[in-house]
Amino acid sequence: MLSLIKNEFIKIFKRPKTWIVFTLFIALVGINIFGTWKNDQTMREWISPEYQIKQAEEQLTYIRNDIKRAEADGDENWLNSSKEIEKNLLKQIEDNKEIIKNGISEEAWKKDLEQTIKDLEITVESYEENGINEWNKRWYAQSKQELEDYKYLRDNNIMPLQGWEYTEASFFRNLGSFFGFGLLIAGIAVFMSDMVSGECTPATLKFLLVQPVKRGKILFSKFIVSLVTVTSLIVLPQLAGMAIVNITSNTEVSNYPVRIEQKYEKQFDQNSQEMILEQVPNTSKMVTNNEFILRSIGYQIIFIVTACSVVFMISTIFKSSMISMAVSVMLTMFLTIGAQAIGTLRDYSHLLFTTYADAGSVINSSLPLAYQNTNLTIMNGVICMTITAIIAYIVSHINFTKKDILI
Amino acid sequence: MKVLEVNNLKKTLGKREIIKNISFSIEEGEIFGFLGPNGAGKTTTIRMLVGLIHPNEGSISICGHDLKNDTEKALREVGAVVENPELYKYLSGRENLMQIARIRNISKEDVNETIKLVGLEDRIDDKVRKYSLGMKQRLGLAASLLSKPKLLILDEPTNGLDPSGILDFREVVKKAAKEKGMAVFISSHILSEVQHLCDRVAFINHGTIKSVENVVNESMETDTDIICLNLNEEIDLNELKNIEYVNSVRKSDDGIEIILLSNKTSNLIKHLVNRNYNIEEVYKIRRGLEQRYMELVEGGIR
Repeated sequence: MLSLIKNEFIKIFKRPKTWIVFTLFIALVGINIFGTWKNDQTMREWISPEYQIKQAEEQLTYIRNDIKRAEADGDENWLNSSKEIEKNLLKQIEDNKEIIKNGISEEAWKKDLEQTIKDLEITVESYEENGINEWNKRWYAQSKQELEDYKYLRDNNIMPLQGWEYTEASFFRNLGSFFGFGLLIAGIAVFMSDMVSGECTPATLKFLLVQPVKRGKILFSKFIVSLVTVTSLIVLPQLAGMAIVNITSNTEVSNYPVRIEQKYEKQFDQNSQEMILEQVPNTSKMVTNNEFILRSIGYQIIFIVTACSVVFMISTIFKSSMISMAVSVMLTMFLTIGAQAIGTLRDYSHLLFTTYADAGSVINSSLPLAYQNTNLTIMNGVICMTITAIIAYIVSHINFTKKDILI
Repeated sequence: MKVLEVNNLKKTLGKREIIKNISFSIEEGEIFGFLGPNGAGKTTTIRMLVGLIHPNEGSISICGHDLKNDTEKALREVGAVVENPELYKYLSGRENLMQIARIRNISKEDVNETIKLVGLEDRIDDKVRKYSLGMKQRLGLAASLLSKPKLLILDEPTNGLDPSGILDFREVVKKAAKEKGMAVFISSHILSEVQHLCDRVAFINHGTIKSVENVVNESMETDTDIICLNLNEEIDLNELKNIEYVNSVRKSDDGIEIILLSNKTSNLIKHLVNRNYNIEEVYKIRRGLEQRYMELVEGGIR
């Protein structure tokens, strides 16, 4: 068995395709690092005092025109509101000039955080004084949760983040959203769809099957090797990408709090007159960013195993690598995009393994909101993917060991 | 000792019965030819012999191991190339052989020895995609010989080999059979190949073995002879047709083509001489295996 595994490793790493797909994945990781950095730069520019002054001055020109028109029309209300805006804009310009002159105190965020905590404590107290009922329990729970998060930040001396900062967390999240759109499964389909069918054209499978080894062992060695290779080639560049971002970023997020395991229920929304997802109070828990990434990568590995099993099964069914690749890519892309676009399919999206491609969104519970499906839980995902992987491998095994090789 | 024993083998693909109850056996050190036209069932039989396809009925035993129930032990005794030697093009010739060597626990020394045997030392570290068809055939032969099997199965092994390659191939196979006691099963539609190499030949057509016959002195006993006769004067063909041991007579560009019972040519010559015909020349058109092939496989002589 070990010699078969060694043979398969030699073959897979000698295939030009392996290195092409790997290079493309590295490029994707590189582009994502750049994109995350660029986004950070753009956001920093937008919130800079210089940019704020420029924006305020542009708005000031418009509002002064409004004031002139309001005076000409004799519209008192318009005039007063416009003058109020003008006053605010002038103050904004002054404040920002002050910031440029004196800079921002390093302790400013701590004061802001302390103020936010105080405000939230007042909110929570007022809920408690007025009594918790069916109508306000959701808001009460949400405020308490936010309070807990902010206190954690204060106690650990962590500056609150906006989410766009150049950090390994935002890099991982951005990459995850690419995966959620089907890029990961498509990559796996392209890479793995010829693991077995590729040995039919040219028919090297005959060369292999006339050796004194059970077909089941040959199939298993191919499966294990492709699994280890695909997992390594996907996970390692991600880890390397996160390490690069971590080294080149000024923002430390390893202990930043992340909410996981949030549950949802469907409620009728009076405003929109439709069913929407609402958080079930007190169902989430807080973990550090490092733990979140670790859990997400673990979950991603389960997804990769499942995706590999399904693509591997398709590869054993068809004799042509072109057909198996076309079927794998089309099927998985249809399931990924279809589950997002087609309402009926969205309701059953928890039964499709392709839905769980963005592991981070499963772990931080944002996936149910995207699909409007309360069944998209971590546990359901594990059950769905495990069953899919087992069935796919059994089908591959039966098909490969029983069929006549007529190539 | 019987190395390969095939009994009542049947195979149906879809609704077509491809192999219809065939049986044969091969002894140690014997080179067994499997001769038939395209589509006769040669490759299907070979696929069954190496376990690539499963027979509907019948049994295959290799060195006493039943292929169906004891596949690994049976295949351990087999070295085979089925149809064209399809090897991994992105690997070197040596790495292709090493793939087998690892599975079968063969030492690097034995691999080098086999490479030398098939004459690929100079190009063995090149990628297979750079090989010519002849070189691929040599590598395929090396792959099948690597484990020093008791049964060597080769399917159209000389396809793509140049004349010296064919001679080398014959020498390697004969040496393997005679010196190492290897049983060799060769499928081919090249008559001369089988005639030069084999001890026994099975003629297969439409999925049935028509006959299994010995090759003696690179020839074979036949039921009839085909001769070409040239006389110095005209003769009425009916006169020839009326002779009891003559089967058929027709004029061809080279002379008069006569099919007559085997070993009756001298009787015919006497008959003509007694009737004062001047014979310019008389010679056999087809000999041995070729003629037997025509009799058995092509449904008679053309």
